[in-house]
Amino acid sequence: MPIVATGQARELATAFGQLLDGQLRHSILGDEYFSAGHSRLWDAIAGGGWLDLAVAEDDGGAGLPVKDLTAVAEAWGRRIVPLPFTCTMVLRAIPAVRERVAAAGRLTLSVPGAGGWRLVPMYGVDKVCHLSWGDGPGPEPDAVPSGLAADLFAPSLPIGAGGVLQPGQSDPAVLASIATLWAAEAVGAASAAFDAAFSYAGFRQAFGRRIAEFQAVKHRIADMYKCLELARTAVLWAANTPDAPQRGVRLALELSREIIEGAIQIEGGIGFTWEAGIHFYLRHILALDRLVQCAGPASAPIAGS
Amino acid sequence: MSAVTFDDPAATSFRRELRDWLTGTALPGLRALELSHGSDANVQLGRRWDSLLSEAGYAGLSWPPEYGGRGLGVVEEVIFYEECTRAGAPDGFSRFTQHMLGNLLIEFGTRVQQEKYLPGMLDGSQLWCQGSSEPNAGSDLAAVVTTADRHGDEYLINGRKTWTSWAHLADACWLLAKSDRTGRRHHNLSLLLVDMHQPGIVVTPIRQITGASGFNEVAFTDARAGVQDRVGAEHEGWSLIRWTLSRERGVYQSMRRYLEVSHYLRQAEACQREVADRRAEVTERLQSRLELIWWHVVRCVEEVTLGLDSRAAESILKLYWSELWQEVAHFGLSLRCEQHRDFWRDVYLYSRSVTIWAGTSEIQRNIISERVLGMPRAEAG
Repeated sequence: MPIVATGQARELATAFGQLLDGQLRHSILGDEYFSAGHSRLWDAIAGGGWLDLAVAEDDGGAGLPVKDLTAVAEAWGRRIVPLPFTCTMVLRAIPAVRERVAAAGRLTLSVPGAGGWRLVPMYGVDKVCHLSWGDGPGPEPDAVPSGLAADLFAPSLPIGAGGVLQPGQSDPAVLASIATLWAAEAVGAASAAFDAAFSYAGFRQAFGRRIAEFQAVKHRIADMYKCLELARTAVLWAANTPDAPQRGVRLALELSREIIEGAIQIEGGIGFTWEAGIHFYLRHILALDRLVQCAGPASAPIAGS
Repeated sequence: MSAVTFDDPAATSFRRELRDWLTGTALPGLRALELSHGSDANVQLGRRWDSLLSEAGYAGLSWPPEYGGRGLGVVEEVIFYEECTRAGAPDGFSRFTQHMLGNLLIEFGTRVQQEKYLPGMLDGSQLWCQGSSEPNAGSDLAAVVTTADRHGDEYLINGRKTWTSWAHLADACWLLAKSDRTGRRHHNLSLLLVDMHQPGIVVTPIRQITGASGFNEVAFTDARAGVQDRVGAEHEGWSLIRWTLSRERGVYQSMRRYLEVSHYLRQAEACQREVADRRAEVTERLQSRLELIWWHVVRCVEEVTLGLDSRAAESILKLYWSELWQEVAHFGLSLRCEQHRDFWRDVYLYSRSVTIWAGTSEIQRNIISERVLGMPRAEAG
């Protein structure tokens, strides 16, 4: 069994990227995300069957394993769209949850945090699933607490303390899949920032030439590229070790962050501006990192099996 | 007499005096390290700090007494930063201007310029910004295209400056502009002292990735500066800017940054203690990075066997493992284990070669950037 994603999964990821680019004609700063475009994009994703990639074939889905889903998650992460695609995809594949949320649309989940806080990733969600299935039926998915989305593009909403997640009831397999796909999203975001910095170096002039001609710039980009290839491998590592994905996940996030740090450096003062937008990728990764930490074994109460 | 070494009696007594002042009336309510850079609260704090320093006689520490300074030296300036940073004092605006522009005017300015500008720098009442970088002249500063055309006793200034810290608050600007449109590089620029409160200057804040706006874009449209406000000879502003920039990167800054970063590191250590033992953490991190080599090799092999192009993925391997090797050797050495001292010494010494043989790390980076990514080839020679 190869560790890499199948050729079919790569093709799917490419097609998914094309679908997204077709819908997201404007830049990441456009109004698209915050208005009607939001739902239009979601409808296109749902209508194309993309939400059921993880659902078993017997249940009418594509039945893709996590390592294949990482290719799709990376394509999603490249566009840092503030919609809960990854969570919805994973949650819909869980039979016990699927029945309850099939009609809910956009789903997200609460994950455990320090001090009794729960982190809910992503915006534009219809329901929050608490990681509390197991023996019993668990609570019904909640409506989203209001008034929480302060920092767009940082895909987490902190919500107040409450007895949402009971020790011994969370499902490590789900946490592993979701953490791995979040890591893949981070790599997608890093790859987009890498491409932006790479093309910037190709046209930005200093001392009468393109900065891409300076060895110092080329070597920094070479280092970023090294991190990018390794980050992809780290995601595959996580996907292929579902019992202990944390090390691969953490590495993928660390390496993704290094890439974006490089992108800011390559773009210089421009890269440090809000408008240039590299920080959206960075914030996205920082938020994913926080979510992954919270979903990790150190803080997640895991079933006493 | 200013101190020569840090243990001079003069240095020690200055330090004591300063420390007493800082712990006494100066500091309450002025601790700044927790504030984010560029926030409004920080600005107010900085201005208050400037005027406090002036009142207490800590402005212009190393300026000669005839210009209102204390006539002290580098040692006292460094001690000043050290003590203030340790005490958590804010940065203020004036000291930077005093060091860069103030010293420049003392050295190269006219008597009139000195009398007009130095007092406001000293007491912090006049706030300055530095009009150097432009959208197409950053690292390559001599490429500025903002023009200063001479009309009789006046220059008319046109162009755009960027990354101009504090321009939105500034009363005046020291500006590098092209005064000779056809002159040769480095001999075509003049340094002008420009009043920011005049029509023809528009300041637009630039939002940083932190969300705050400490710097700005400044557009000049027929803004004016008198010939009497040019520093030094006409068209010879470049050498003056070089002189001031060499002061921007000086020891005062370094001492402040050293202590600032120490503050962060102390905090990091405190945070880390809560999580796990530091060394265990390093080992774990290195283990993950090492194991990634195994996964990457497997991935590359599978890409070959599955008929995919693995050359890009493979190109990074040598660079990665060789530098990781050195990192592990460094770590081993840093443990200073009595029993394994010779072992780590040998591992460490040999590890210096691994980024050289089989294609140096520099060549590896050339290969990745030029052959894999198709960036422009290095010039021959």
